[in-house]
Amino acid sequence: MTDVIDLDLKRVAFGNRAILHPLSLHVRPGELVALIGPNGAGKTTLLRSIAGLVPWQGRLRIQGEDAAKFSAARRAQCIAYLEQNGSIHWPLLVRDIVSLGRLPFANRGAALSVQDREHVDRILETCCLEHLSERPATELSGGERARVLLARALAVDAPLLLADEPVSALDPALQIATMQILKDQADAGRAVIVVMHDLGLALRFASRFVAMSQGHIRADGPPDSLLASGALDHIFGIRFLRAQSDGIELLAAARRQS
Amino acid sequence: MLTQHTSHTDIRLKAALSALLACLCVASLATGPAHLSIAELVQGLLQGEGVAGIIIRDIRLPRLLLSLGVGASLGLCGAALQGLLRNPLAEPAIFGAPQAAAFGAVATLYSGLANAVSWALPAAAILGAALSVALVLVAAGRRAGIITLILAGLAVGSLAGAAISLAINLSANPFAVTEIIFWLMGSFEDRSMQHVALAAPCLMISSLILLRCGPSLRLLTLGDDTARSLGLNVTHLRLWIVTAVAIGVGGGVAVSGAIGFVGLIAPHLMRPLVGGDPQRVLVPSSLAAAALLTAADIGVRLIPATSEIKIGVVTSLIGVPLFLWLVWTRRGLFSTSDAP
Repeated sequence: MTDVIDLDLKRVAFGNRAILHPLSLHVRPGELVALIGPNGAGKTTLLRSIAGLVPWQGRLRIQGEDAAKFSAARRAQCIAYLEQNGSIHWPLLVRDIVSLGRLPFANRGAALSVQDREHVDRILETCCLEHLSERPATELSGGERARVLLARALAVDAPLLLADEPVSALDPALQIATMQILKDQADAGRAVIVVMHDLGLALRFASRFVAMSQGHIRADGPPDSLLASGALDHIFGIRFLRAQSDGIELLAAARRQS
Repeated sequence: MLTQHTSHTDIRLKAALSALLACLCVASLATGPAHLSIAELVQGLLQGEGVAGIIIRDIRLPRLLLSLGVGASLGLCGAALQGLLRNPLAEPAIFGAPQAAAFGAVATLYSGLANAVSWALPAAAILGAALSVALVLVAAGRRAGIITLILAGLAVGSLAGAAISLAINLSANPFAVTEIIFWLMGSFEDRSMQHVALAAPCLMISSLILLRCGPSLRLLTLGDDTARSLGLNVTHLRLWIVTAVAIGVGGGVAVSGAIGFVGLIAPHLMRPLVGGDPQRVLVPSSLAAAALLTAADIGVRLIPATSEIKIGVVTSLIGVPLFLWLVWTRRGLFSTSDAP
């Protein structure tokens, strides 16, 4: 099976300061990868590099094709990007915001096709936004707006979905609902990379952890084995304690004993 | 990318504004010191013969066409800039083009070139606007962010403003000073079809570019990063809009002088009617600004005064209180990003 992402990154730098060092990342269809690591590890920069939002050196293949040869529209069709703390500047209707996700497939300024409208309807339903679809997005609560932005990213229907901390501002119920939506996207054959800080939540939904620190990928593999090996303890500089309750894996962080 | 419901709303709004504009066009052609009946007005417009023909075709029609064109361009420029900057307070002056265009014109008045060559003043104004854009783009760099562009624009605008003050300060001829000050107040008085021909290409080119940017402005609602991830070249968009605004404003200032607040007010009036959509607000803002400026131009002809009141004074006198009232009534809207 062809990897959705085949990344061989040489370097990302802001001025003379290197943010990301040489690293490789391969993600297959159906994988939900939790990109984890301490603050400042380079997770967001890695996501933005893959999305083509920062200049970088290296090679990226999307579904076997060289992404450097993609047009802007083709890249937008292949990579859906949900930015951290995304904003909505004007009071557009929720439906119109979600419809913007179909823009890479539409003629400039043209009306949405019937298929696109149906797709947007399905996404609104997936994200439980039907009842809000005719409301201005700026009038919604923070959690509702986060769901609208997620729906916008899903509307692209891209083989690769990059989500930067999509659950950090949500209540526990919405966090679980959002992660379930992302898991469903992976189960549908997409590759999903999610930047997360809640490792307990990541443990429940992600099929793979990629742990970063100081611009390097330090560990990459199934969550269970990374936790068991103590690799994450080393990267975060803390101890992770695991337990089970009602069949659900729980993870707690504790200070390392000196 | 419009839904069925919104496209019907847009059509109704544009139709209402167009009907208003049609009424204002008739009123503008009918208003002036010489009273003309409707029959004379129509005959003068269509046949161009006799006194009525001269009054309509040579005096009132150029005035009407300029108020429509300059107004439409100012409204469109204001709406596009507000969409680009995602700031409802943005207006063309933010990039320095109107000030630079005004300086170009003032330089010809100061040097006497404006009286020697009829097209020197508008040409210098357009050149001033073009140079200001070139300077802003060179100073800000090819990959300029919006803050850098604004800072460069403010610097160029301040420089042009200082140069205008210097020209007034150094002018030995009091008539030239009066001429400069009156010209800076903005007016459509004594304009000819030559002025229309000079401004029209600038206004049309600017409008075509800005209207094409509509879908991109809509995409910018989601912020630069998301818009770029959806295939938008944000840097190119900025350069296109800044350039188009300079061309439009340069063409407008060249024939009418400095007219403020229309480009700021019109998008504000229209935005609530189109749901705040930066794409859908473009055409209504353009039509509304054309109507506002044409109405103001009718107004200055009706106000009894020893000399005609300058239209720039009227737009500012009406625009500032109206703007304050809009700010007062829509305080909540300006903080929508902090919604519950």
